[in-house]
Amino acid sequence: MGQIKVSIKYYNLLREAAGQAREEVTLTSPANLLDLLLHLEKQHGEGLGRWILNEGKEISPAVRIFLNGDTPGESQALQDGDEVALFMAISGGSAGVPLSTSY
Amino acid sequence: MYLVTNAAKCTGCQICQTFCSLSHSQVIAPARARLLVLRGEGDEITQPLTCQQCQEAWCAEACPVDAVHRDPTTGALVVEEAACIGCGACERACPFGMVVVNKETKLAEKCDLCGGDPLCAKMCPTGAIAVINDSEEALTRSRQGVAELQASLPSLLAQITGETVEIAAGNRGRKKGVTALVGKIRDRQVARPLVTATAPAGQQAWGATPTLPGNKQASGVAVQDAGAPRGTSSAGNRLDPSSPYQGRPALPMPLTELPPGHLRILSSSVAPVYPCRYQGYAGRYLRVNLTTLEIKALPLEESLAENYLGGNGFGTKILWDEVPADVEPLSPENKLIISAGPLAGTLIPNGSRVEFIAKSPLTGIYGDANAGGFFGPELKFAGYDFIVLEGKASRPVFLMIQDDLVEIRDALLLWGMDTFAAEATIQKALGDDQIKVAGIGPAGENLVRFAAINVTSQRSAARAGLGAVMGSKNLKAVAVRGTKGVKVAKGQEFLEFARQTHLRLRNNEIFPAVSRFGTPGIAALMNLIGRFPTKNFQFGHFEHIDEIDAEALRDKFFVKNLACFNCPVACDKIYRVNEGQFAGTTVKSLEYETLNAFGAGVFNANLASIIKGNDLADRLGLDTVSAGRAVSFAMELYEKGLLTRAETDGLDLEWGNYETVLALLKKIAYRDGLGNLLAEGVRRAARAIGRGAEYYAMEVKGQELAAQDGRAQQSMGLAHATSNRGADHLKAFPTIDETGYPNEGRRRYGEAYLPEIVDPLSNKYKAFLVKDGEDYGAVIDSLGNCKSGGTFVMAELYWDDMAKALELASGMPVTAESLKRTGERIYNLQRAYNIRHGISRKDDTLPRRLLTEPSPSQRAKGHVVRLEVMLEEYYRLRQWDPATGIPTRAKLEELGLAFVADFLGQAR
Ligand code: SF4
Repeated sequence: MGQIKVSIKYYNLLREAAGQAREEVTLTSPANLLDLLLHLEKQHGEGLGRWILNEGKEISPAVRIFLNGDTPGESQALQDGDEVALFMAISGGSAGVPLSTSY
Repeated sequence: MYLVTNAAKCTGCQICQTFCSLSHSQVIAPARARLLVLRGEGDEITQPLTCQQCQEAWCAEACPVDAVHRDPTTGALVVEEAACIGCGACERACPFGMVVVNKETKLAEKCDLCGGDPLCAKMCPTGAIAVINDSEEALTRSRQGVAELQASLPSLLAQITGETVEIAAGNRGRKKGVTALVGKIRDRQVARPLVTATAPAGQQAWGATPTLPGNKQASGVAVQDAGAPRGTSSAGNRLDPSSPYQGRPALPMPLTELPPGHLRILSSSVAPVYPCRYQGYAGRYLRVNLTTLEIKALPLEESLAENYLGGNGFGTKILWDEVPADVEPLSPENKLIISAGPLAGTLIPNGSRVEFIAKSPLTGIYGDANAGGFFGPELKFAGYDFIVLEGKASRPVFLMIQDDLVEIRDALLLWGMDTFAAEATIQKALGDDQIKVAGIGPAGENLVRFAAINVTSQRSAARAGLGAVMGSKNLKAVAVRGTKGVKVAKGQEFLEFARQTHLRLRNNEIFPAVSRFGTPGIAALMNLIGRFPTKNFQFGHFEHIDEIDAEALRDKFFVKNLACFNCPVACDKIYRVNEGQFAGTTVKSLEYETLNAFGAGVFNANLASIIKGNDLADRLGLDTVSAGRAVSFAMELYEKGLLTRAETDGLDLEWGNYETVLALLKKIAYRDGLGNLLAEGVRRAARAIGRGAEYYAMEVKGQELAAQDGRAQQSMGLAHATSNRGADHLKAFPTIDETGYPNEGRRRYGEAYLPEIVDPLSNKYKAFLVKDGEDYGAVIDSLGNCKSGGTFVMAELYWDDMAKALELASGMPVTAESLKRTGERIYNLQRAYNIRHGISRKDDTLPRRLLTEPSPSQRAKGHVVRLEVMLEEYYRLRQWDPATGIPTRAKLEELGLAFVADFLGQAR
């Protein structure tokens, strides 16, 4: 247990929803990415939360998270001084309507 | 019920009009819609205009037989068809141009609020049209609407048309020209007898050269000496670099000052209409011989539609049949095919596209380029599926199509003009701002090997140098105006299916971001994964990305959203520089590729200068990708000491020098000095320079690489290597692995391919992903749909959807399986065409840098493109000979291409 500081960089819709490009948040360790996103939702409310979390309060499949320039696993623990970049995906997505064609 | 409109939200997509016209008039034609979308001021005005269902209704009052009634439930003013005598009194009475008498049915047509569920409001993706249901509020809003329109319409119309009107208080607005003006705008959108040309019966011999008047304005217009013969070699076409591009008037000269004889008709023809078994198609095409000035309209062959769909497929087949290997790309024997697909001009999002196909002067093999905007749909509305342009005019000409009337006109006046000025001049000269133009600028005229074709409104069919093919034919532009519309086989089902596709796109989880930021939105993300080419692909990461990404663009330069025809996404935006050196520069559709080509690629972090470069390239008619790569190539040679200041015309080629970038764009377009060398493309330029310059030429098969460093996304490496038009991301366009989209991987291909298929650094399944993308992409480019809409960037619509769309539109039996085979057929025929030109496995490669220099950037650090392993698998999946890369007879026969196997001399 202890406090860790993580710096966040927001992009595209998330920058607008958070109302800022960067911020630093303090989390209680251990904390993983989901903990971070839940924390951000609490801090910024539904405006940001609706993009980054789905209805079941899991990480939205349309959000892209980079941890220190790499793509982390969902359960990866955050360290003090980590840099997190948050985007909404901007290619490759769908409305999830099932397709009947398969290979 | 009342329809309330909000101009600030309108993107000009015309979805409201296309759905309205199909549902009410059984034809897809904005001209037949019961509402208008006003457009003007360089598209800065896009405003829906709907019937106000006025309480004191001019139309109802004017009707001599009381045929206009108010529907008691909806409050709509409805025309009772049985009573209407078609006298036009209502049309004349409406001050807002909202009632029109159909010239065929002789019945008045107006908005009936769709019986209580207005389709325009339902389909408008932005909420620019909304329904007020509450009847009290509807009444108030209707009164307000009438008053507001009476107050605002005159000045709005004056802004759009340039004609001033007055509206005296209390006269209810109709007498003082408002009606006439709306009517005029409406006329421009509605079917009407078009300008009947005083056309000579047959062809007219080339007359005496019209001389340009000596006034200052005109002398700035025609750069090229009127009498100078144009050689066929590039060198022979060089223009004086001091030619006054700068001095040329930005706007076309007033019509009254047009020199007599200019834009005159040299040849004209009235095209007959042919019956076609399939809907969606116009059923005819044009063959225009520019040498003889002969214009022929011919019926579309049904087998061509069945086997090659349209667009890209038609062009491929015509090249195969008519342009053999010994034809030089810039010779009169090359042919340019301009082709819209069966879904272009329809409701399937977004059928805005048009294909240009010819042998490429850049690569010497199959070449195509594609553009959105409004040209493709307009060609269909005029009643043509495609145009084959052959031969070479002896003087500059342009082709003018107005429905059935087709003319070859003199273009001496336009020659030398930039693309925007030429377009505006044609529209103004012919008095119709709805004319859509595809034209070239100085770069195409000067046969720059990567010259683009600029398409209304400011979209570019940029790749493969097809602008130079137009230039080589002395063809400045093709202008088209169509009022016929497109019919579909199963109207109601088609409309319902199209509605669902629109809703799916709008519900797509990435739609909000794509729509808001457009293609630039991906720049920061691609930078973070090391895929953003920097300093001519030395790096995949640009440290100044924050200064040039979509966020910076939106913060500082955004003006408004703009859509192509029938597109809910509206990824185009108008951007304007408001201050500093480039103040006043305005562009539409600044794309990811251009941000990279004029930004990170040349190490330039000055976003205003990138906007300026985009504007310049569009006006000059240059492909921003190839032009940017030509500049970064030169900059790297300078850095490495392979080019010295003595060879750069005194230009400082230091990285990031944006003045140099802008100067080089002009020099390339006018083939001046170093620009003349770069205008040949980096492959030829590197060969001419020697000294090891070839290592820095980032090209495949002669075409410059787009902004995807394959070391960071392996599938893009393979895509660039195999693309039939040389280096290109758009043929295969793998998107689901850009940032890893497991849901999409699962949805399209099934669990078995995960996780590798969406891992950008894995090589597994990437051959499969690329092959599927190439085949599917060939179909999309043939149907007339967009890859940045719902088919690739949003991986929403797939084989099944497009098969259904085509079947409902055309009436042709189509399944996902048959469509896949068609995609494969088209792709294999393109490949076979390239094989005829000596292409083989050895050419399916990448610049050595990407194969041998490990990326220094981000996650891609240490990675090269592991091409061979992917290529092996790719040939196997394609059933091409792994040693040569030639399609096998078995494959060709399976695809109905036995004639290709025979031609290639393959043993039976
Ligand atoms: S945004 Fe498109 S659908 Fe909506 S009003 Fe404007 S043109 Fe019509």
